[in-house]
Amino acid sequence: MRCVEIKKLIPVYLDGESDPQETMAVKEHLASCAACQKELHALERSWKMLGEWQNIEPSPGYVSRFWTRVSLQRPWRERVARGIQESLEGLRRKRLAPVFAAVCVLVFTGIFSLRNYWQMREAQDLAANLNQEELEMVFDHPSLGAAEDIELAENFDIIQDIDFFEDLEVIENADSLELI
Amino acid sequence: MIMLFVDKPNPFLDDPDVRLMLEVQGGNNRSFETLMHKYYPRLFNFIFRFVGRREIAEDLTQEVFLKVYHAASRYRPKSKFQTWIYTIAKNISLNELRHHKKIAVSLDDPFVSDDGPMERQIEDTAAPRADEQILREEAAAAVREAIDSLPQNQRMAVILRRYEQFSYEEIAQTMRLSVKAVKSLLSRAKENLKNKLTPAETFE
Repeated sequence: MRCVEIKKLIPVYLDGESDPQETMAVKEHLASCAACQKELHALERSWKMLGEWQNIEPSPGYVSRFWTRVSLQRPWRERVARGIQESLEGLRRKRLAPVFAAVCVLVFTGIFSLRNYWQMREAQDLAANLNQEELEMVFDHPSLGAAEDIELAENFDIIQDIDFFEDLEVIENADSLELI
Repeated sequence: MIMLFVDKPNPFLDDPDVRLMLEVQGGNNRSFETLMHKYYPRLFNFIFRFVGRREIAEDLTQEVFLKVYHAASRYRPKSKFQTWIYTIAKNISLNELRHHKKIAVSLDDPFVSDDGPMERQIEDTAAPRADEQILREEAAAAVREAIDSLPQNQRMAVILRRYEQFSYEEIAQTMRLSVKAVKSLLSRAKENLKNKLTPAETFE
């Protein structure tokens, strides 16, 4: 092989990643070519010089900073959960058993819709947070058929507008509410 | 035809970091912290060398772990954990450079830990010779500038090989390239670095 071709092989040869034929070709050529030996040494030197740029320490406390950020994310979920809890507490205190039964039906419908909405939203968030390449590395089904949940998501919008968690009058007229 | 579903053992379960991530999936935040302690400094340096700014690298490294944490519930190991997390770091860094066209490399950014001037390894415990220290700092600055001058793909391949000690195969998986393409990339990168850092020794 000529010097021009050998020179192209030297960088990978230096990393020990050449295939056997190339390795042999480079070794044989270097044994008798001073010019290519010089080239090899120049490449070795510059590569070694990269070690002058040493690692730095990240700012301390990166773990606690991380958990703080995690706790600040997704507050809306906790707000909805707390709202449901407080409303149910209020109903129990006023002994509105028949109304409570009607509310249960509404709540279960709501929770079912919410669950599907959260799943759809989580899937969308995940799809937004991880691109296709990253999703394929960890998920079996990167696209979770969010379109199937559109109907349920639309139900959720209606339930959300009612705001029945805080409005007892609306709850008492539960059977006259239009739900799909 | 009756399909018999036999569970093939997942080869990535041999990876201890994959197993840690599965524990995170099971709700174990301590395992997540173990992964953080292992990968945070490495990813921070990887991102810092790629984007060139320390504060940005701090933010982006946090972003990497937020992505990993929020993906935990649906995690299915289909690659080595290292490959996955470095892929996320690569993409976050590329996005950052895309949105902020050129982040000027500040040569005032420290090369060293926050504790101040670099504690270099010195044979004698007396004060190091000032000129030697200056020479090394100049060399470090030249290296930073040389790496920053590389095209993004070459820069990333160099960082993964030289500083993260990735094999060519690992670089190929992280950068979504063939090994042949990685060889070509690194050959060109090394040639460019040689021309910048040892110009007196360069000849045609």
